[in-house]
Amino acid sequence: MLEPSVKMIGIKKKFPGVQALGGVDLTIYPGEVHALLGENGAGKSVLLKILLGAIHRDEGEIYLDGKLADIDNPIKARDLGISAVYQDLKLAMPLSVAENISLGRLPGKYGFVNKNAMKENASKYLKDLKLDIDVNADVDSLSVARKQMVAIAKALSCNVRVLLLDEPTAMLTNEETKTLFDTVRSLKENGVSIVYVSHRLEEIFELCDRVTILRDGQNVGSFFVRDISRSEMVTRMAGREIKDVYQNATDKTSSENGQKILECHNLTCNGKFRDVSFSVKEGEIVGFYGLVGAGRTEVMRAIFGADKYDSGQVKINGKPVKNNKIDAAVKAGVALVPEDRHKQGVALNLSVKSNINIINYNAVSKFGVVSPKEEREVTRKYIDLLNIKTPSQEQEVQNLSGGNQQKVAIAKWLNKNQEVLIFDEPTIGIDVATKYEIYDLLSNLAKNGAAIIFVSSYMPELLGVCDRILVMCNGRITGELPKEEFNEGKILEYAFQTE
Amino acid sequence: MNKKDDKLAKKSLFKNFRLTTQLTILIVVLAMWIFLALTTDTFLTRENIANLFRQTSLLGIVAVGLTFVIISGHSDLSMGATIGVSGIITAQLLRGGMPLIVVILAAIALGIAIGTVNGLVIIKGEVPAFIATLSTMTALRGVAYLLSNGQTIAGLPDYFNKFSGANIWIIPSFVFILIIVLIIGHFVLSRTVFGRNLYAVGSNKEVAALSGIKVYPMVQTAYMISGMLAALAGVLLTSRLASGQPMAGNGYDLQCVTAVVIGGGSLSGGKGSVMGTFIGTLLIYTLYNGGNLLNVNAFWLQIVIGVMTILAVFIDGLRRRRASRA
Repeated sequence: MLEPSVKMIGIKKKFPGVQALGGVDLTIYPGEVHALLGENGAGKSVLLKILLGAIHRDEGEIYLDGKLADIDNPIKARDLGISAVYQDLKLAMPLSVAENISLGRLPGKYGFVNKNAMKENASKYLKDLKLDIDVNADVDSLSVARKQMVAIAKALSCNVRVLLLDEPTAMLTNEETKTLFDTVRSLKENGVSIVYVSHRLEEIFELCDRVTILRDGQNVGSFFVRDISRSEMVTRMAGREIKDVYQNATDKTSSENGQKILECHNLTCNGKFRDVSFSVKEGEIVGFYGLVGAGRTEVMRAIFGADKYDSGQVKINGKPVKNNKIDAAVKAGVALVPEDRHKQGVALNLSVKSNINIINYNAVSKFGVVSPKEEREVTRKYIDLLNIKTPSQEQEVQNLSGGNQQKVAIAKWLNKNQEVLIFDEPTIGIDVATKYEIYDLLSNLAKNGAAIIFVSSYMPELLGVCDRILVMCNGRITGELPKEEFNEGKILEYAFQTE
Repeated sequence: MNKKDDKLAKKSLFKNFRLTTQLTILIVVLAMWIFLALTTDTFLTRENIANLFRQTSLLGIVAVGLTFVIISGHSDLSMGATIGVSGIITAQLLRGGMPLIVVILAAIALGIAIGTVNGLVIIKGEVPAFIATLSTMTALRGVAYLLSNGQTIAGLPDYFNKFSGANIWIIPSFVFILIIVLIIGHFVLSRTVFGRNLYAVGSNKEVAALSGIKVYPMVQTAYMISGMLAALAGVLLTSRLASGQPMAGNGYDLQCVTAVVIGGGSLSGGKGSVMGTFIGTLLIYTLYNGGNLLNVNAFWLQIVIGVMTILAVFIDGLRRRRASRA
């Protein structure tokens, strides 16, 4: 029987107001790809942060290769062979690939860096991963997928024994995902344990050996992936029965007869997008699919007035909207729930109440003076409507789980009752149950007459929720499919289509 | 949760009051007063207390202005120089026989103008607030010297000079004005849409902009308020000194920042309060006053103030880092 590379026993962690982990066990073996599944708020990131030395556990023990380990800081964790590649890729952007890989352990004597040794080192690890990346290149200039590879190479150079991958495929194309999986498999062969955190169940089935499911700070089961079904995974995660593929079961004839609310004519921004024309009717949910870099976010920001465009026109209800003026767009009825939840969607240091009211103080104030009572009522209304889990209205949003943060970001815009709602990757990094709540929300909003744009890189959700899907590639709209013609293959074709 | 929310909301009467820190500082101040009252026979005199509050009021008025700027996520180093220029202009106008109302209006206009310039340079010019206001400060000092020829301008009307020592009802005049400034400032920050928006802009400029808040006018207004209050303090200081002095206001800048940060303000923006700032100024002047009475060398006090500023900013940073790690 193989000695586990990681054995966490009875891990407990409490934060003010919430027991994040209530005694969690986790066992991982060398050469295993082990998925860690759970809703946001289930305790996954807390557990991993404890393993990485970023947070201290309250109770419990950690054994590495059978030996009791005291991991009290990330450097110690790294030296013990535990590394992580995060969603936000902690790399030093302006530095070169070689420098990044050696960061913190630059080779050299007497304070001088041995540049050649550094480059050789880096080349070695990149070759091990079968990667063709120039060690002199600035990390900044690499694509997301390659940045990730550099991060993995860096972990390798630290003699990684346990590698944590957090939502690694969120920003990758299918090709790049394949490369990543190949890399993971070769790491596996070298005895490295990989902890794989992802909400994409199909990936877990394809890549992982075992899966541990967390719910509300408890381990509700570890299974061999081949022994568990998709719906059982989802059920265990949420603790309730959920259909595992969302289908928007509404009758869509109403949207066919609706008015065109948003119209874009030949929107162009040099270098970002060209000749983008489309319209959205009331009650319609229009999806925007595309690879990273296709230009969807740029188009949406332009429509919202956050960025300037060079030519073309945006019309709401037939009336043109001024270029690059957010307040004009908002006044015309546009809302944007941005892609970057943490930096643009919500103000992390402000309370739930402040974040929800920020958009519409007019509704809770008279002559410029705010009524705290009305503020609270409005907040309460949206907390109930969207089922936002927070100990109180005054809770700073940064203390909420990702899914609840997103709900706050959405609640904010619901508070303004806008006609055109643009959602840019609203479910990234969010647990399955909350994803479905958001899909339901979108459907209900559409039913009530809103014109909705749903930007996503995750096809299953677009297929399930949208009435129409537009596909962008390299800044242009390359294809459009109505619901009757939805076809994954065709959509992918359009997404890869260059001129 | 409804009852709990209401209770929580009512408990935090001063909405952004960092209760524990500010209460602690207040207790420290009171402890110092008790200590001074017991160890000296000069502290608890009417004259000394009036003096203490007069000085606190001057700094307090300026610090309230700075609170707005800091909450918006920026900083302002030009207040001291604004006081100087305002004082010179006040003195010259008074000597020229201008009625008080004109003088006050002129000061307010000056303050707003300086604030406007600061705002323009910082937002439109994208010059970091620190550099921009440092430059404004230097330039304004130069203006003060130019306008006064480097001389003290005395010979001001009697009624004006007496104002600083006078009482309105039983409260010293400066304190009276401070109280008004505190009440209005607190109200604006904690109960108005402008106040809410200011905190939002300071907390996360991007999110505020993406929520339809016009960031530039907000920050601009904050600087105008800061400039205006500093200019007003300049008029008051001139009354206290019974003359216009080009160096007036020197040193206020750092003390103001210390006061705001001790009172819960964060240099990264989005946090701070008028009441907190007031308690911060009380602390600073209690130290000065006490130090004086105990015959501590004034330069030691300067060192203490410097150290306190570093500590205050350090603790603020600690708070922020711990919060984001939670």
